[in-house]
Amino acid sequence: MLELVEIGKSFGGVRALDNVSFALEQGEILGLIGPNGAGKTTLFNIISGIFPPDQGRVRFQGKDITRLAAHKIARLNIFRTFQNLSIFDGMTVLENLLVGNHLVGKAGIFSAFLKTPWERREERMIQRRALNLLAEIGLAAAANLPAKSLAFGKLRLLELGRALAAGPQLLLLDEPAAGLNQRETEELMAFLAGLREKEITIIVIEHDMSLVMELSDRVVVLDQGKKIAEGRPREVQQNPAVLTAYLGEDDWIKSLRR
Amino acid sequence: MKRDWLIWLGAAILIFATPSFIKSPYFFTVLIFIAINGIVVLGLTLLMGFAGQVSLGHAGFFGLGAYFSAILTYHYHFDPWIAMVLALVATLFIASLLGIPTLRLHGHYLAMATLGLGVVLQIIFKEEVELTGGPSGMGGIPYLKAFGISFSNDYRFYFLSWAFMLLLLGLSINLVHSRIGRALRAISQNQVAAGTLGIPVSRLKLLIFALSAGYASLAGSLYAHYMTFVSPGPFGFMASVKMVAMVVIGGSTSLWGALLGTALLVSLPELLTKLQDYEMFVYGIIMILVMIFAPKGLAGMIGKVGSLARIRLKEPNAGTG
Repeated sequence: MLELVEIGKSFGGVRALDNVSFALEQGEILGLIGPNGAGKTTLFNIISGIFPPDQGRVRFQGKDITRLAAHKIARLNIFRTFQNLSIFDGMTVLENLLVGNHLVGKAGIFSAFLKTPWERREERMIQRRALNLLAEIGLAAAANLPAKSLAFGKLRLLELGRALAAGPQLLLLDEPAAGLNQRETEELMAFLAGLREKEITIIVIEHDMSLVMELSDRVVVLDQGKKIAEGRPREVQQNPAVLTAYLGEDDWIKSLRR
Repeated sequence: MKRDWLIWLGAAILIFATPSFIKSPYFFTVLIFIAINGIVVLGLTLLMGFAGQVSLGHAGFFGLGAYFSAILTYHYHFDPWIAMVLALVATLFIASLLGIPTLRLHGHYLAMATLGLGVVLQIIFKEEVELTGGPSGMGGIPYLKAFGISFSNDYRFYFLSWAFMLLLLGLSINLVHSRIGRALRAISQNQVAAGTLGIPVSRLKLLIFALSAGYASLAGSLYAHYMTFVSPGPFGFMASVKMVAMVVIGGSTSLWGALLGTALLVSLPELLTKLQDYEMFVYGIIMILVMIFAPKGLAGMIGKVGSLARIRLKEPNAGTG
């Protein structure tokens, strides 16, 4: 469904991504791993339209989406989360999900001005959707609290919920477990496993190896902007190139051998 | 939302009851200026508080409305209401021309561009003597008429100006509590995240900018037909700065802040007539004090006092529970 062809991107003189290609099947969960600075988040920014690549193409369901703006990528039902949370701090928990539902609604400026019956119906529908989703991610009790009052782990969940609100076909998760404790990580795992059953295609960037290995159907390894390995989690774990890339990063080696 | 409409109703009753216990014509003049300025400030509040953009040229849009109305009715004998609509359309168009290139960029390019536009408009108002009367202005602008009533005295214009104010306030309340209003707040809080959720960031910023210029234009038309005279003075850079000050002092994240800030800064010079020369000085002091003690403006301060009172009232129960 998603196809990346020879993606290249530089920042100043730094080659952030170099000739990266891989493809994704419908319903698949792909783990994207690599040391810090490997270009993983840059790749997400390119897919989600935050900036275009210097070279290469991105195709989604056969359509070229390389240079589409972020909001048009979202219209194709591609949604994402951010490594450093990007919650709307000045809104309530519920409002964050209402914004997540932006593409579910259609009301424009004139129906907003006049609060037409049609607009009220749509608002009620969106409220219902958002409340249902809040219940699903276990935040129903916090609906009317300011988002910034939530603990970090809950904020991660809220952001995940916001990305799910409009019904993604492709979901890009940038380190969803970062900063979560053991129990929260397990809850997250269970929740993500549930998404698999809804046939949502997912790319997940994650440093928590046990999470990646357990969740992913396939893993792509980036190092210094290049793809150095691709395959089933067990194969990748044994790949000498991958082990070399992580040499010197003790934690990584330990986590890979675990 | 319900609370906003309750306050709106209260304000409407107060406004339409006021003439029955206050008769001073001077008082009405002040109230009319609060309504007219309040409409501009309301639009600017939508832009600043709900979309996170700043305009330093809103007095220019105010002037566009006033001069378009003046010129179309005086030189070309248009019906004032039709002139008002044409002025609105022309202002929306000019604001869009300015907004399309600048609002695509991140950062405060809009502030710079509107600052420039304000200066250019001021020059046009002064130099196009044949159309605008130049620095000494132009008179002979007709009064607004509707259903055989001419809004030619302060008493009548008071109702007209506040009817406009309440109408636009009502529309704005609806807008803020809508899908578009939420999207605008999302943009002001995190533009990148808003984009990835499908919100067309540049387009909505342009929409709200044009809309706020439109509010200013309508206020300008009202001004022209109230004064029946326009000159470049009230549409210059200092006037734009005052309008920004009204938004900030009132509290940019509340529509009611627009009214409070305008009411304070319009009536203040009237109260401190002896301090005329120090007017801008007093403005500056007030702004500094507000920023230090009430960063969310007067509206924020009132909200805080309100919630404190509520906590006080609840405390006894909380203790026994």
